[in-house]
Amino acid sequence: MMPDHSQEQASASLPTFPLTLNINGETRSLEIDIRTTLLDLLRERLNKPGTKKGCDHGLCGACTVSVNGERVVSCLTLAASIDGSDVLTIEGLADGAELSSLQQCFLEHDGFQCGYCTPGQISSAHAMLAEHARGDLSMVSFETTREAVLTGQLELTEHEVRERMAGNICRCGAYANIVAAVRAADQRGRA
Amino acid sequence: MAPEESSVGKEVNRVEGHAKVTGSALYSADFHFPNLAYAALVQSEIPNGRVEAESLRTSAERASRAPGVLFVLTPLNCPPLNVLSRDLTFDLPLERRPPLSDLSVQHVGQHLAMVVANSPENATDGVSLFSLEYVEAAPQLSAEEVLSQPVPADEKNGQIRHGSYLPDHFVKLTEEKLQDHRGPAEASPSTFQVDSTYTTPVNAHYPIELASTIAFWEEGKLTVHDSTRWIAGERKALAGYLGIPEADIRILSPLVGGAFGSKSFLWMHVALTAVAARELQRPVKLVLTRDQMFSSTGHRPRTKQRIQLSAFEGGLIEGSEHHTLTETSTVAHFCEPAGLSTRFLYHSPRLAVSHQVARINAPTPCFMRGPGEAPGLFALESAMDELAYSAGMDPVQLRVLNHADIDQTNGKTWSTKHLLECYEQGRKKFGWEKRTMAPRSMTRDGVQIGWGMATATYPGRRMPAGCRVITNVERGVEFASATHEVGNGVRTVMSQVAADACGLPMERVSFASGDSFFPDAPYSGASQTTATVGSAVYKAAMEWQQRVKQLVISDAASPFHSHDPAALTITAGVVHSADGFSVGLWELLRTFDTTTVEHALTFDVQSDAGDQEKFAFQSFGAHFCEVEVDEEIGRATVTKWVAVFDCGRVLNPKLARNQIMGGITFGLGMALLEQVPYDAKTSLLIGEYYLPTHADRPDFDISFIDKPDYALDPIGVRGIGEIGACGVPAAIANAIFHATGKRLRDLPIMLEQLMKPFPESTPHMEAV
Ligand code: FES
Ligand code: FES
Repeated sequence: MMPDHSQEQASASLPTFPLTLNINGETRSLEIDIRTTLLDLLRERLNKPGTKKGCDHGLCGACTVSVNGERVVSCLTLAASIDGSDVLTIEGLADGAELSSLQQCFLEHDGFQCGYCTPGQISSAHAMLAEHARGDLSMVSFETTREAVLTGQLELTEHEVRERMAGNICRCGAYANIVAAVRAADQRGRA
Repeated sequence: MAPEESSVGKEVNRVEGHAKVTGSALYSADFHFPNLAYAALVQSEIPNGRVEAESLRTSAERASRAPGVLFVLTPLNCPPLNVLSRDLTFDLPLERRPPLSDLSVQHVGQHLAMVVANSPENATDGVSLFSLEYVEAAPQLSAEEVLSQPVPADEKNGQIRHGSYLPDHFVKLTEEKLQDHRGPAEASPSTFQVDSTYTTPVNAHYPIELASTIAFWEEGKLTVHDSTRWIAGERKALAGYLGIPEADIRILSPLVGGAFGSKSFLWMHVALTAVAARELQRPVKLVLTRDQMFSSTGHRPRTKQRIQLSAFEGGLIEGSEHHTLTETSTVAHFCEPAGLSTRFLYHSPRLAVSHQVARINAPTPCFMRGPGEAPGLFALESAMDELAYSAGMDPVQLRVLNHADIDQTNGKTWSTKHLLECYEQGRKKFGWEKRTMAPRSMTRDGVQIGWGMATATYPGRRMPAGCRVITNVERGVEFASATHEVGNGVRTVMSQVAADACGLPMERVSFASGDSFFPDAPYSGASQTTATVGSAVYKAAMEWQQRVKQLVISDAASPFHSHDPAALTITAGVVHSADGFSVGLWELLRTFDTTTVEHALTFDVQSDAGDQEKFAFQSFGAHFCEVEVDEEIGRATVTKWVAVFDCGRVLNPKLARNQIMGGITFGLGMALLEQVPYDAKTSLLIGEYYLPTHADRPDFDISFIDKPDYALDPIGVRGIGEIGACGVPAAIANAIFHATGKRLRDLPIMLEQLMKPFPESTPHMEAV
């Protein structure tokens, strides 16, 4: 159940902002404190605690979500700055009871231990696979052929995944399994 | 290989894995309550002195007037909290001084006030309105300063202490002697020596989940959702601080987002959250900031370790000395027990181990993954490498030569020990025979290559624990214990153990943790959970099977009515009689009276610590690694890792490998990246704490000897949480020596050290 702050907020003389977001396919309109980050909005006001806070200043990647299809760290995203956007969180990746292939691969490859970085790792990987598919390059891409770099037709190698996922820290150290899970999901996506 | 019908030994997925990949897994801060208020902490900015009461008063008033602020707690209005009992503070790192109990400041990051508001933004804003003034006193910021300066008198009846001391033993374990010796005092003249000093910095556990608490009161009873890894200890500490019975406190620790030794012992912020919730009569939530995690949930303290190894010609060790100087705070006891394993790891007729602890103006340290062994084996295993080079011997050969066949600290034999197999298998897998001994003798693509190795060790431990069994004819059998799922996979492996011992498929059993209403279990640390809670679960499941057999023979309508229970077996959910008759157990139970079944099959058991008198219990392993050193840019990259472990039976190889990889990655961070960046003069945080990322980890080849140790516990396990990290920094430092010829004895090994020109003229280099 969510606390009802509306009365208390109104009595405080701070400016509020009318915000509309489409979150996991559902439109939500509410008045927010202009200082609210997307992360706190999701966790504290919209009852979507799947997205995690690990540092609150852009270091760890635990809070990664997609905004209009691009990954962002939600702790550094002011909610008021993305009015009208589509937000995709970990809660929106599965199709009902059916896990997405990325989620299924994380489960099978044991791509986590404590699981706290996991929503961020999966959300980040989800958007990263789309970046890769449309031909976005990484630092590592330049170690391949000229042809691959020019066409953006790059194999998603282990090295590529490690480079492209470097912003998501896993203190439990499940990195090798995370990479295996992402690559397996990529293979399944192609199959 | 595990037999077909057993769950143990199989690569079972984590039972809470589905929840973890869908975001539905709930951690402490994920719970919501009506009317929830949000707390934020104000912390001290000086290492020693006194905060001016007037500045506290005016700051608190200013914050109270800010939008949405509901309450401000300071030492000026905090209801007095009790001093914890000596039992909790004299050999454990709980603070002797209650939080907000005076105006004295003993370190940067000490709690000075808590602001509670109707939203996280307003609480944070309230904190920003604080502007504190201090009367500063000269701090003592290092062991060196403490040892060279006069010792100030105790304050507050011994709650604040200064100077240094020589602790006798580690935690409550009187046999783990921190001051120890055997054999003659002096080295035999016919030996040669390695005499080196190693240092390790302040390390932070850095779990990705921030420490989080939600507290509320109902009719005088306190409920706390907390990211703790020691429910029973927290309940005791809160009861102590608040002066209420333990029975009036419920602690819930659903899933914990990593702990690694933190999220325990330092519960001052939890006590303050409970106080605020009581004052406000509404639920209060506190999430520490990442910076506060450095000061308020413990850390691994600095160590300076001197090791002297003396050996005869040919490499046989004659004597070992390991002297550690480390630090704690002025308000709590902790000793990083770096020298403990030097007492027994190698054959050594002469031994001297000491630990001296200096009380400095810094936050209270505590256990961190591989307490003692992680920094201690960095020193010992580096020194062994130095000895190998002094003796002109292969580092593995030197270790094999000095293998300890018994535990020399007490003369006991090991319950099981397969360290020699670890060396042998590890070196084969790694291809160690291709290593050329001389430093700087291996290169690839223009960079230096080094191969290093180290021994790993960590004690096998077991403590008493309880387990509840609740049988529901619809759902199955739930096992429950007040242990904690911190990522160690306890829910999964306990389900496996329970399923096998009951004779049920895994789908019929579950394991719940994280509630103080369940029977007590110890802290999730010291690599003891699987042996400890596993023993309780095993006992409970065996008891369950006995009770089931009684039921199926006593019910008049049962096909096994009046059978001899000893002649019945239950496997994979099917009851078999000696004459080959089989019936599905669950179908059978459903034909009985539900209340009778559920009543008979719902009970608590308590298991003890087992018989630990006869044997010494210790896990072992061997690390082999390759490091590439690019000297032009001062970068060391760990490229390949082979590790073989002897940790008793492996219940779930998939989870075990993952945990060991995590341990090695943890040790890699310690070797090359991690140190809490305190400014040496102000002791303020001045930078970031670097952690291993996807880009930093090597390719792993991890394996287990997988031979059970039934002397420690009935399931044959010894625990794997810590050992992965132990020995890792030395293996890396030894590889760097091999690559560069530089013997680097100060962690973390960074660019500056790697870029120093070669050769470096140290006495050790000349010995090579
Ligand atoms: S919480 Fe946003 S990056 Fe760490
Ligand atoms: S699974 Fe624990 S931090 Fe990644």
